[in-house]
Amino acid sequence: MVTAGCGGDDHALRVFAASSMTDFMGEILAGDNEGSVAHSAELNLAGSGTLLLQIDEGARADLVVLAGSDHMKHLMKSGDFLPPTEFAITYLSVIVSPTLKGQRLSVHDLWSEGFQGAMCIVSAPCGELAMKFGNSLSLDMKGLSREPNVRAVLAKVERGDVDFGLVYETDFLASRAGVGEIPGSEASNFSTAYSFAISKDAKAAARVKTLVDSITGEAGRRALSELGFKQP
Amino acid sequence: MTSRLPVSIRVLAVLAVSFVALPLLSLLWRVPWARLATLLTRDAVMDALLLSVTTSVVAALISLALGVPLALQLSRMTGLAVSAIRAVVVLPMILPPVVGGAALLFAFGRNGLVGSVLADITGLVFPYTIGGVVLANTFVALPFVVITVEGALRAIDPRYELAASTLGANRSRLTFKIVLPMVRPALIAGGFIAWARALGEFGATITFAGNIQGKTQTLPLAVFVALESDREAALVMSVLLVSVSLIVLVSLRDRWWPVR
Repeated sequence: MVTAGCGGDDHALRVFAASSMTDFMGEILAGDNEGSVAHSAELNLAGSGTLLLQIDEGARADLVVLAGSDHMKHLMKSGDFLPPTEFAITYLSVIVSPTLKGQRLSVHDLWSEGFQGAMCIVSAPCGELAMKFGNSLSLDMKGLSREPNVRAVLAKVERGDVDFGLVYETDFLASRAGVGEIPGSEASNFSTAYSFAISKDAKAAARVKTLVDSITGEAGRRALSELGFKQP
Repeated sequence: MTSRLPVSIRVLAVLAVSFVALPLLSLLWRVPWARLATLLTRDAVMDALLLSVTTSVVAALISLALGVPLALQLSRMTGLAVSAIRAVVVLPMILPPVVGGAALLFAFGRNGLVGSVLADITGLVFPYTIGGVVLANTFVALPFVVITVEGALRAIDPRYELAASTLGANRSRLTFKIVLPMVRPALIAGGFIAWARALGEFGATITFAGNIQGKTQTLPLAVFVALESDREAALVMSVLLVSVSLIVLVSLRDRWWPVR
């Protein structure tokens, strides 16, 4: 990937995406056959809160893909972006480590039997969602480790470093490491919507169009449903 | 009187100082001084402060307890072995902390090489406990004790020891009454630098010990969390950390780096 320095009009397309969009953005960029965009795109993956912090402090992005409507509203306040488009929805999921898989535990077992859990930091949409879920069931969330983003939670559950974690359904589906899901928990009532926003910078908008078309087009929809995302 | 340096060198030197000092000044510039006290007494901040102070002090003491014997041993060795051991021990100083955290997980994690055996035998689990924080802190702090103390030990004139032993001092008397008192400044410096390093530890801690308020969420971790949710609190805690480090470095002055 060859990238030009900052300044200049021919800078690489800067795409900021929430880390739970890792696989999807990878597929979108890989599926761009003409290669014009993918080869010049810089993908910055981090928790939505981190991305906002970077943009607040002056980082420039041509396309921003965020989880959670609060974060998108915050981004809009900067006035540098066109109105957002919602394109995917995912649900919360309670997952357990490979060793606990198949033990038929309920959510309340996880809390009452002293298992160690992990969730995202509350400034990340996945953490905010987990907090709402916990509050609705009056669970004590204080003992859960707060990981920087949803992929960090997933990785720790996969390795068995924690017993359970609150992640997105789509991250559970993306896992290949034999983690289990607690079925029938209320978690699926809690959802996060993903939206993207394009920079008001006209040149960027023209260049980002191919990418946006593949996100909202047939290829994007197929990739989203394969990864377990729902359409808004 | 030393001769004056060329202008170009002096300009670059000023640039070097500004490069390091400017980000720190910018931090101070953004701090909401008026609300300092309110922000500092927040629950999450107090929890983190207490945890940070406890774990970093314990880590510094462990680093001294283990690092000084190793430094004594190394200072008596020569050849390839000493270089190899020193390289391994000093590695955590320059290792990306998150790699250190991952390495600790693979060693002392629940399914780790040592951790799984340890948990079976003693029931001791490190990740996500306060013990894990101390372990991560010690991992990064220990090298500072070893190199500081070893350097001082190697600088001792061997004739003192020789004289003491011809006068009949036994091995432990030699070590505790002659050698260690002579490197006292290095012991103090090593201990404080180790403490300051432990206090600032982030990467290994969040990777290995997790981020649980009141249990494993140290000040740097609290800064990281607050940076996205409560930026003012993050700034206040950052300033606290910077001040502590600065005080340690200034009060150690010539003990850490050689001054003519």
